[in-house]
Amino acid sequence: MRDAGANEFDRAEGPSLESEAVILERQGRAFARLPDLRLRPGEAVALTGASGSGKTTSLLALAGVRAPLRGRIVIDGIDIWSLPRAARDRWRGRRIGLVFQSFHLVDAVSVESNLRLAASCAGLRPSPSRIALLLEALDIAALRHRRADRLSQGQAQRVAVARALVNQPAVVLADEPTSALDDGNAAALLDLLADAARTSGAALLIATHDRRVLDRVGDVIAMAAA
Amino acid sequence: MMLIRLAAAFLLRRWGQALPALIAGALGIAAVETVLIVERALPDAAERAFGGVDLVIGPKGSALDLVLCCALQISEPRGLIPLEAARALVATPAIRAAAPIALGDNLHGRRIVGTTLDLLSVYRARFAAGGPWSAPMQAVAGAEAARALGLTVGASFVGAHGLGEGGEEHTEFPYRLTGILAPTGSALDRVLLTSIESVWTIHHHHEAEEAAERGQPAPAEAPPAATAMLAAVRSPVALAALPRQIDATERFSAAVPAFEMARLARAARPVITTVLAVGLLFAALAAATAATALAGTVSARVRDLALLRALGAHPWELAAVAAVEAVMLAGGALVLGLGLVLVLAPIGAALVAARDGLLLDVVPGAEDLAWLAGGALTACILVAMIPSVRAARASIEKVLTS
Repeated sequence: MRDAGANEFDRAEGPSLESEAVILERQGRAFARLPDLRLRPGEAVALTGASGSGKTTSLLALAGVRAPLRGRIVIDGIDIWSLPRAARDRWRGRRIGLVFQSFHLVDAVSVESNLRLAASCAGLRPSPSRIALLLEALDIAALRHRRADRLSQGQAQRVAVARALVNQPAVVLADEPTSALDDGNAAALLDLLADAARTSGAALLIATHDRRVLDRVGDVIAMAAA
Repeated sequence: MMLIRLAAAFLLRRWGQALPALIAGALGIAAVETVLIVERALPDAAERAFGGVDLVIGPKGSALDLVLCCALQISEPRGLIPLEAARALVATPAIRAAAPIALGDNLHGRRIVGTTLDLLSVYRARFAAGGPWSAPMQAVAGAEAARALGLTVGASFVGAHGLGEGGEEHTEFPYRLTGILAPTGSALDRVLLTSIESVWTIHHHHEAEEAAERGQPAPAEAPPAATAMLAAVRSPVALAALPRQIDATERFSAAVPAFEMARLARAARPVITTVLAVGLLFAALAAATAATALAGTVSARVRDLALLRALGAHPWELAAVAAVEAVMLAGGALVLGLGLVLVLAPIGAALVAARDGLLLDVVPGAEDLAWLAGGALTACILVAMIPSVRAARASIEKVLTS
C-alpha cells in the first residue's frame, strides 16, 4: 500500500483533466454538452450554467460516477470511463478530490478519521504528516478528534476541503460549494479551496451559478445545450 | 483496521438498534449453553454422587425411588427390609462390599445414616481427620456435612427425629464425632454416619416414649431392619443377573443407580429437547433481531456507504463493513452470553448442591464454546449477507446529489 502523500511521484505529465465532446444524458436522452476542458495542475476553472443545465451531471461524469452518453474524459492520463467500475472507484479515490454541496462527511467518526478514511478507501496508507499539515493549513487541527456530526457548518466545510486534498489528487471537483454561505464565508471558502488546490498541485473545477464565485475565479466556461 | 474502527463507530452510533440484537443473542447463547451444560453435567454429577454404589437393595417398590432415597440421599424412604435376609442376598462373591443403611434422623437437615463400617469400603472413603466409631453413639461426618455444620472431631451433637429439620430432638442420646471423611464427591459427603445399632436404640426409645404417652406398654424390640442395603460389585457383569435374581424374591427389589439414571435421562429427554428448542428459538430470535438491526443500520447508512465508494472503496470493502459489524455483534453476544452463564451457572449449581447434593460441573466445555462461536458467527454472517449486498450496491450518484 502506498502512502497517501505519494501520488505526486507518479503523476502523469500533461493536463490533469481533459474532456472531449462529452454529451450528457438524462433519462436516456442527450440533454447537455460539456465544453471541452483541458486543466493543468494548479489551474482553477468555474463551470457555470443555469439550474438544470447539467453542471452537477458534468461533475458526476468527470468523477466517473455517471456515464456520459458520448465523449472522452481523461483524468491524470487515464480515460476514466474505460476502467471497470471498481477500478474507476479506486481511481477516483486516488486522483479526484470531491467537495460536495452538503459536505457529506462520515458523521460517525472523527475529523481525523474522515481524512484517514479517504486514504484507506483509495487503497492508500494514511499519511499522518499530510493529515497534520492539512489540518494545520485549514485551521482545524484543534478539531481533529471531534466527531464529524458535532462540527459547525464552517468547520465541516474545512474538513471536506481537507478530505478532498488528503490523497494529493490531480483534480478537485467542487459542486456549488458556496450555495448556502453568506458573502464572507463564500469568499473565505473559495480562497481556501483555491489556495489548497494550488499548493497541492491539483486542478480545480467548480460547478456553480453563484456570481460571487464567477467573479473570483478567472476562467469561466458555460454549459451548452446538446 | 479502518474497516474495524468504522464498523465499531457505526455500531456505537446506532447502539439503540444494536443493543436488542446483542441482548437477544446473549440470552439465546446463554440458554443453549445452559442446556448443554446441564445435559452433560447432570449424569456426571449423578454418577459422582453414587460413589461406589452399584446396587441398592430395598423393599418392593419403585427402583428410581430407591436410588433417589438411598444412593443420592434425596427422597424419603418407602419402608424397611429385614436385615438378615438382606445380608444373605449380598453374601455372594460377586459383591465386593455391602452395608445396610438405616435412615430416620437428621442434624439440621443433614441425614444421620445408621450403617456399618463396611459402607466406607463401598464408597472407598478415607478419613481426613479422626477415625471410625468404635462404640454406640459415636459418629463420623461426611466432608461437606462437617463443613456446613461446623463440626470438628470430638464435637457433640444431638440428632432430631425425621429427615428434615424441625423434628423432636433425641436429647437423651447425644452423639460424639470421632472422625471426618475426606471428600468423595458422592452423597456420602453430605451425611453423618453412625452405627446402625445406635439408630435402632434411639428409635426403640422413641417408640417406647410414644407408647408411654398413649398409656401403652413399650413395644417389643423389632427384629433388625434397615432402609436398604448398598452394595458395590466386583465386576459390572454381576449387574446383569443379580438385580433380576433379587427382584424375583418376594420381599426385595434391586435398583442399579446407573441404569435408573439412564432411564431418567431418557425420560427427561423431551424436557431437555424442549428447553434446547427454546434456547435455539432465542438464538433464532437474536439472529432475526440482528438482521433487522443490521438492515436498519445499513439503510440508515446507505449515504455513508455510498460515500465510501465515492472515496474509492471497493464494493467488497463496503460488504466487509456490514460483515465486521455482524461479527462484532456475534462476538459481543457470545461474550455476554457466556458471561451470563459463567456468573449464573455457579449460583444455580450451588443451589442444586445445597438442595440435592449433586455437584454439577458448570464450566463451559471447549467443544461447547467452539460450537457456539461457530454457530453465532455463521448466523451473523448469514444475517449480514443482505445488508452487505445492499451496501455494495449503494448508489453513489443518489448520495452525491442529495
